[in-house]
Amino acid sequence: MSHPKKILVGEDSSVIINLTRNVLAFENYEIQAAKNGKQVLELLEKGDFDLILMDISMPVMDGIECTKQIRNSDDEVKSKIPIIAVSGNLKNFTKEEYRTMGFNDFLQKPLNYDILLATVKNTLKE
Amino acid sequence: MQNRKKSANKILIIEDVMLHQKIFQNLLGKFYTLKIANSLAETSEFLISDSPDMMIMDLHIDGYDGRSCLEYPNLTIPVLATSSTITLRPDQYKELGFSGFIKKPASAKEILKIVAEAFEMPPQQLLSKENLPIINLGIVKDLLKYNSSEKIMEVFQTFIHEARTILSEAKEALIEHNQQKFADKLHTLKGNSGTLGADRIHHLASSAQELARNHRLNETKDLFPELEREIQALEITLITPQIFEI
Repeated sequence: MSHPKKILVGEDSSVIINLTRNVLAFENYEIQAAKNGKQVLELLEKGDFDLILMDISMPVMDGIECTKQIRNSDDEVKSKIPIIAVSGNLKNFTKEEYRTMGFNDFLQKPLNYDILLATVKNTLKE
Repeated sequence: MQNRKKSANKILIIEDVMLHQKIFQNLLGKFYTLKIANSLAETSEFLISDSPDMMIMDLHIDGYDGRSCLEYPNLTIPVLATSSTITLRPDQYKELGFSGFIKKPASAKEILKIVAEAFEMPPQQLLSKENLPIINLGIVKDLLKYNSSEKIMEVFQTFIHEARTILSEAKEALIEHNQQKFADKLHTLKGNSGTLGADRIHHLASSAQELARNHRLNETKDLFPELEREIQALEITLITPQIFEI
């Protein structure tokens, strides 16, 4: 049996973390959660992940700055980790603009978990 | 029923896949005046500049989540949803505020029929909070695919606790005239309530965020007692045994 894929969820809301954890665990993904961008970087430093779900609006360090730091990192593998942006800002950025900022894909809040799972699988090429 | 000349009807198509844009153009362009929006940002712009009579929205545009058409508060035109990956039942698309659903690929005959039927429907009722459920069981049903009802209950309890904290922090932001902090708090509340299907709270949080965005921070004060009432109404609703045994 293949090893479960590990997903890092950067999200400041416990509600979204809990729901996302349940949904991804249901599909046998391993989850770790970080409450802000700084914590995402710390967890990424300590462990290996296959994908990051990154909320854009987080305290301390937002998802855009965090993604920029990951993409600029010297670690060849970690700098290329797939990152999916998660945001409720309807009018702020297009999918193309998110791509330019280093994200692989984008999910709109409120989250629809069918779409979230399809996007995760698509990004992981499953 | 009022007779309408088809060509006078303007349809705004929200679609970012070129192939699908062309299919709609070739087919519907013969009968209707079309405008294509590639993103939700363009949608907002064309809704104002072009006053369309109908919208056809791809469900996957810019990570669109299936509820964003409810974000346009004054929308009274029919909105059709389309998707090539998911299928919405009539009860599901109606609950989301859509007048119909086109599953791609669809035959020309099918598309024309759905569009013609949607044009004959009475104008969509303006969405007011009272028309919305306290808990949108359609969304809960979707969540139950991946969560037990006990887990959903736990998440709702966390939501209520978090919503109250957010509200008091948003009030602080108002006192401090900190527009950014206020908008961030409402943004979180909006995202959480929408994801869980706490529709009334979602509607109020969206309204408050929109007011703040338009620098009408003072008017948001009136929404706080309403938000508090709705959080309490949700709490009471959750006492009902087996609420999530759908």
